[in-house]
Amino acid sequence: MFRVLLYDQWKAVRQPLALVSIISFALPVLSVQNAAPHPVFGVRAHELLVTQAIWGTAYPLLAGALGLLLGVMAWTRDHRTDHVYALSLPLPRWKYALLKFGAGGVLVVPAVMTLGVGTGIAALAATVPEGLASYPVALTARFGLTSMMAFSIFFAISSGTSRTAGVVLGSLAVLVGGGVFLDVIGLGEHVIDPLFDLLFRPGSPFDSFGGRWMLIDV
Amino acid sequence: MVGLAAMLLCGTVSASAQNSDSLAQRIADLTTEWLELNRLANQLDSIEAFVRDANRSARSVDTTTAGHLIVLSHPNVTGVVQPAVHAAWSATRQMLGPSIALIDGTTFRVDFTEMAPSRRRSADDPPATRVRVSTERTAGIATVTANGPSHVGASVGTALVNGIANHLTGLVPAEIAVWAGRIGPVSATYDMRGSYMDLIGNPTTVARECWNRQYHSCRIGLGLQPSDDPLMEWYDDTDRRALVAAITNTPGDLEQRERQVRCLNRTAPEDCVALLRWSDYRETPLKPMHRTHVTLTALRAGGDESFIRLINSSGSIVQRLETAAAMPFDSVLAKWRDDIDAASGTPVRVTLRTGIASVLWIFVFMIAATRSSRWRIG
Repeated sequence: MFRVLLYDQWKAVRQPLALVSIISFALPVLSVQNAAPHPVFGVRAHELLVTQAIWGTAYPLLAGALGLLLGVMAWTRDHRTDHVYALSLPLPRWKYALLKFGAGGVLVVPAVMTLGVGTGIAALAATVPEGLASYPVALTARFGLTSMMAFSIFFAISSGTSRTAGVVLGSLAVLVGGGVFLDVIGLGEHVIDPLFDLLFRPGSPFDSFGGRWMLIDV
Repeated sequence: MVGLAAMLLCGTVSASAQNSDSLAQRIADLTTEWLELNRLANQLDSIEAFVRDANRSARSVDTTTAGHLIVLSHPNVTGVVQPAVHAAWSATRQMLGPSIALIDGTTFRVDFTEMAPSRRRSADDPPATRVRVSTERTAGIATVTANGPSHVGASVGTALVNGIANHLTGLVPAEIAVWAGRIGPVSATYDMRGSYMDLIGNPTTVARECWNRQYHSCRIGLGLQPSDDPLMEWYDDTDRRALVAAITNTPGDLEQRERQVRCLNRTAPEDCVALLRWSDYRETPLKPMHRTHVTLTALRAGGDESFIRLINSSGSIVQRLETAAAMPFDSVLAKWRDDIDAASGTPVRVTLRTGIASVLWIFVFMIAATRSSRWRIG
């Protein structure tokens, strides 16, 4: 049963998943483009760190996108067919949901693996100046954990009705859009910042999304 | 005024014995004298008023004391000054320990000046205030401009700390003061993170060796190793080429421009030397901020009396710093390097807490997904 569900989900997400996997491979490789020593000045550590910090913002976004893709797509076919297939199976719902969750979890692995390969190649290719170090394993582990977190959140949201999923995802979009708007009109400091502090505080579900995501760091 | 009246009376009596011309002349003279006396009387009144105002002004000064730090300010601004004085005292005491007693007998005065609107960059800029700290000996020992009312408090604190630092730097031997720059708890200069970034980004061979804790190279980099030809002894060919690329972009002189090209093309290292000599390059491989930090490290390492020992020290800079720190200079450098390492920050890591919390949350969301009422019938 698990293999059938895995195959079913694989068929549904294989194309976007391939794209995410390619991006997750390319991201760390592209981030070390300027890590080659300058012919005159050598490796400029400060510029390297700044570049890493800029590229670093893409990792949690990619992890979130991967989780959203797998979490939502896991239930799309069920919603579209009014759960007839699932109801026809000799399985309680909780078991069916767990099997789907497991299948989605397995599909997180390819993107994490390609990121691992990408960070490994990037770490080997980059000239890391003394005083700095590369962290391919830590970055990959963090990406895997955050992707799984994002997947579980979106999986739980999508497991309800389409309407529920729409309301929750819409609320998230309004939150982010409203945050940007408040920031633009100068109220972000008082409204959205405390909210984000709450969401990203240690131990919260979004904890792993925050902090520094740098392949090369101090 | 009584004297003036008596003079006029005497003048009138004596007038009877004189002819009308001389009488008229005398009246004119007396009138002039009366006007002059009147002017002097007015001046006297004005001086008395000035003295009265000055005395009143001297009385309208509030004194804020925190430990050994005594600060005078106008009563209108005491609310802003008081917390700044306590913050400055705390920062100074933390840095210097009992040596802070050296500011005993010195009174600092804080004054505010509103900057003219014409000094603002644009009409939308908030009104700027200049915070000026003075002592009896030095007017304007530190000045900080607060851009907007909300920054005034912080600016008073910064100005006070800078003022104390400048005052204390004036007490240390000139040789150390010139080498180390301002000595004091100035957060802007005592930024070890900046030191860390500079040291790891410094491409010179000496800096790389200093990073690797070769303390002899640190001494060279800090300019503590006497040298007849620093350009040749402190830098190698690669360093000098980088210096040429960094400091002499386009020399006006044609000959120097050709030298620059040959230097950067690696065809003639001697041209790098010639060009640097031509531009009178004298910088040490490590930036001046490292000297300040090494001095502060020595003071911290030396404990309570370190600053007093530094003031009373003699010999070379290294010997003076050893006296202040009460330890060999290489040990001071080791501590300084430790501080730099400590300022590097924390790299990307999934902490155990984050890992456990994330796994628990994943489990919670998974359970939530299995508990949906979607399939419930009826």
